[in-house]
Amino acid sequence: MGEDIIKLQGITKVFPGVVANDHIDLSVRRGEIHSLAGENGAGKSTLMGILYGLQQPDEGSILLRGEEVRLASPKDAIRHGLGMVHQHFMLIPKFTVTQNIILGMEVGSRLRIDYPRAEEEIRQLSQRYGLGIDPTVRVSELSVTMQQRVEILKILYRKAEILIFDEPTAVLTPQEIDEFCDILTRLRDSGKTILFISHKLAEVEKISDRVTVIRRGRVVGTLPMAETNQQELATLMVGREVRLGGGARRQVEDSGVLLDIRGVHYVNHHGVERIKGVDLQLHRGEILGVAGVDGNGQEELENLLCGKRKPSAGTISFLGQDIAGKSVKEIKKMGMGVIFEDRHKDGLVLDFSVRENLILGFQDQRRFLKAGVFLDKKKVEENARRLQEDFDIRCGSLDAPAGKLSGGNQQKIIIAREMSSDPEMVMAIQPTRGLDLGAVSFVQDKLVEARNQGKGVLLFSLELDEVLQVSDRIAVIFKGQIVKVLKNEGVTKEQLGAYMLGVAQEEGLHEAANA
Amino acid sequence: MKPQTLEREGASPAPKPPRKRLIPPPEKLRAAGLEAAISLLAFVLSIVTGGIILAILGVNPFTAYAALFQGALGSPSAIGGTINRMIPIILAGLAVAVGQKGSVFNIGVEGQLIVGGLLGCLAGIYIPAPAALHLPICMLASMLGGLLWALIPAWLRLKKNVGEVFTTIMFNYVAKFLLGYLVVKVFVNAGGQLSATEKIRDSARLPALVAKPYNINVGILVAVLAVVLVAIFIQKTRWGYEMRATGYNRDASSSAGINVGRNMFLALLLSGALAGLGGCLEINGTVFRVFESYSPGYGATGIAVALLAKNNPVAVLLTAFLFGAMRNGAALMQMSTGVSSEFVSIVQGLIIIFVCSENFIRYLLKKAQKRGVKYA
Repeated sequence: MGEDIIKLQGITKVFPGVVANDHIDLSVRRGEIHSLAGENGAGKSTLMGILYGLQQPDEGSILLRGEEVRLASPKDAIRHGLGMVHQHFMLIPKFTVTQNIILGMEVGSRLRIDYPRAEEEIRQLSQRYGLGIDPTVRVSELSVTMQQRVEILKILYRKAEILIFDEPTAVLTPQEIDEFCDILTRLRDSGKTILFISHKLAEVEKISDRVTVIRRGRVVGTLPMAETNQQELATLMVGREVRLGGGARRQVEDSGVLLDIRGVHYVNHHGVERIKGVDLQLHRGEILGVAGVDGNGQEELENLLCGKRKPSAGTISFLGQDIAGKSVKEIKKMGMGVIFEDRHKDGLVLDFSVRENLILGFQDQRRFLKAGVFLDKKKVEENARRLQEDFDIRCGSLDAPAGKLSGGNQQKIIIAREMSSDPEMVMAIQPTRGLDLGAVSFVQDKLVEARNQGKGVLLFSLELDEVLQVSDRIAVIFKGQIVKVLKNEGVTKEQLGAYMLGVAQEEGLHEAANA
Repeated sequence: MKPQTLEREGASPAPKPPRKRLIPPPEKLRAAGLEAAISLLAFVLSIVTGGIILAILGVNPFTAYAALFQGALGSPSAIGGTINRMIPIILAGLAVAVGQKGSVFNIGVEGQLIVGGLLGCLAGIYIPAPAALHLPICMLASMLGGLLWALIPAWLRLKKNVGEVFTTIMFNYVAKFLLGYLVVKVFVNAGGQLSATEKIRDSARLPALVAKPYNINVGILVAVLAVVLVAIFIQKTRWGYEMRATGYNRDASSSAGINVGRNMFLALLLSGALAGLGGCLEINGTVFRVFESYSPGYGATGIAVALLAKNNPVAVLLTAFLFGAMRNGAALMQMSTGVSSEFVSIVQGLIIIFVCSENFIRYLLKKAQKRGVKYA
């Protein structure tokens, strides 16, 4: 392994109220895969923004190949051989791969772009790194993985030597992640230097040569991956020991069926059948994880269960009653708590205070009312204080608008509220999305706690790690059908991934290809 | 560095027993202070811009504003006039604010006020009733009128998802021309020389609260009572809570099981009823009969009033006072300086523009804060 190709010294960046980067030192060697691990908000993105010229540091210096440089814009960074693949792709769907890649660097004369030459060049690059991209297709026709590869080609085309990847695996399935890791390895072996930003430790462990952990804007340490492991990294990232997966499980006595979905179909207003005959049972005292690639009918199924939509056919029986066609309110009253995916859109009224948000949806319950009409200030206050304590909601004041809180604390408000009515069942949709590790383990603990109390938990998640860590059983949804339900014993990500992509269907189970 | 203590910061210590507070908590005060500062700045900017316009017209802005002030508050009768002017403006502003709280933008206050005033007036002319009952009957009739005028837009919103902004604007025109027709052709006064109805019976008139020379009528009490009731409704009741939740975030509200459609429907009806009451207080308090253009655009003023008050019912009282004073002082300004009383509408429009450029004002305030008091 070579000399230090990047050396950051004492990088400090202060935003109003936050020190995003606090005297960060970082050395990256030529030809290594160097991971930058840290929780959301630890300062990874700010640091990479500084390295890529998007932001200017308040203090500190950047050395590239031993020389101090000033990167005033991404243009400077690119000139110095840096390239970045952003989490959100920056591609124009209507353009072809070639058009996207050469944008801003067109070859040819002033009046005419020399497409054949550009295409040839891109084809060669694609072959050399095994990317398998046809330069002539439109980006809109490519899958997410392929689009990511176009982004990689884009920076390779700009002769980047140092490739920065910002949370690149967030959008990929397990198989795709494997392939992606192969690509990174090939890039490294051909001499490129790779900076890999992630909070997913499994991937960090798999591909890194060295890893630097950042917490609260400071470097906690840089370690060769061979000398450390996921658990140690997690502890470094959070600053204390975290244990994912929610802890001890108890067998509950009554494990009767709580939710019974039978033959449910749903046709949306465009006439497209999004749910094609789902059968699924949720028992008391279990966490049933629903795994699947995004957009395979999860959203529709969630909406059917919580009462936002009505099934076109079939029955959904909850506690022995058919809830198909009941309102959100009625289903809620029967004892279903829902942790919605989008905290800001569905979970909270951001302009409301923490106190007000803690009764949202329960404002019409007698326990909060005086004379059936007026909100009882005292009871609302008591409720808020109790939940604030039980769920460790850190908000300074209960009068603070919910929008001012961190994501983790916002999620705590929602969970506290939904659990406060002692529901029979909890439907949790991506409940840990965007949370940092500490909050993730808190949320998972609460789900397991609910399960241990004999409630049923239906967990929709796109994170396979989470599904595997938390669930008792796992149902895989694919193209509007539950293609497999398995006990979570010795199940691997690869197995799940195969079901999720519809490639491992058992004979005679369902026909899934009639989409 | 002590990350451990840092982490615990913010965690609540032992919960303090909730005690009654006379002063709202600091966060709320600061937020309210900022809102108030924005509104105040918007108002000042409009006055200054209005002054520049006056100067361009060749009028000394200081003389004109002095006349405006004199006409608004310079004498007991001016003060009384201002307060009487305020009454329909308070209700129009309150109507807009209530709609906004429930996430409906009721531009139809004008029409609802016209129809409400007409029904209140007709009840005052044609229903023989003892004095103690007559006024309440008129008020109820006017509220019913305003509510009915909001009913079709509200129904269209609920069932067909038709934007209330369009329907209520249309209904303003319908109301205006319907009124024109009715006072010329149907409910004509005996003499027949005016396009106006008969005068209402004495029993239907709002009595004086403060005698001449102030000559303030009881309507102001009714208006203040309406403000108080609406404020209690919005802040303290569960329906108010649902309405506010709907106004802030429809998705979260429906996800929490709140019937968003019904809340918007009710907000619009309530808004209409308040507007109708505003019409009645104007007719039965000062005008005593309905003629074709008896509303000088109270609906539009109501929008400005609510905007400036940030839809806070209590603040509506203050902003309505400002607009009442301007409208009332405009006559004297016109007489003594020759500036048309419609100048007040210009200021009103400017206020709307400045309040809507709230983000710009926030930016100015932030900058001022950063640089100390240099720009404040």
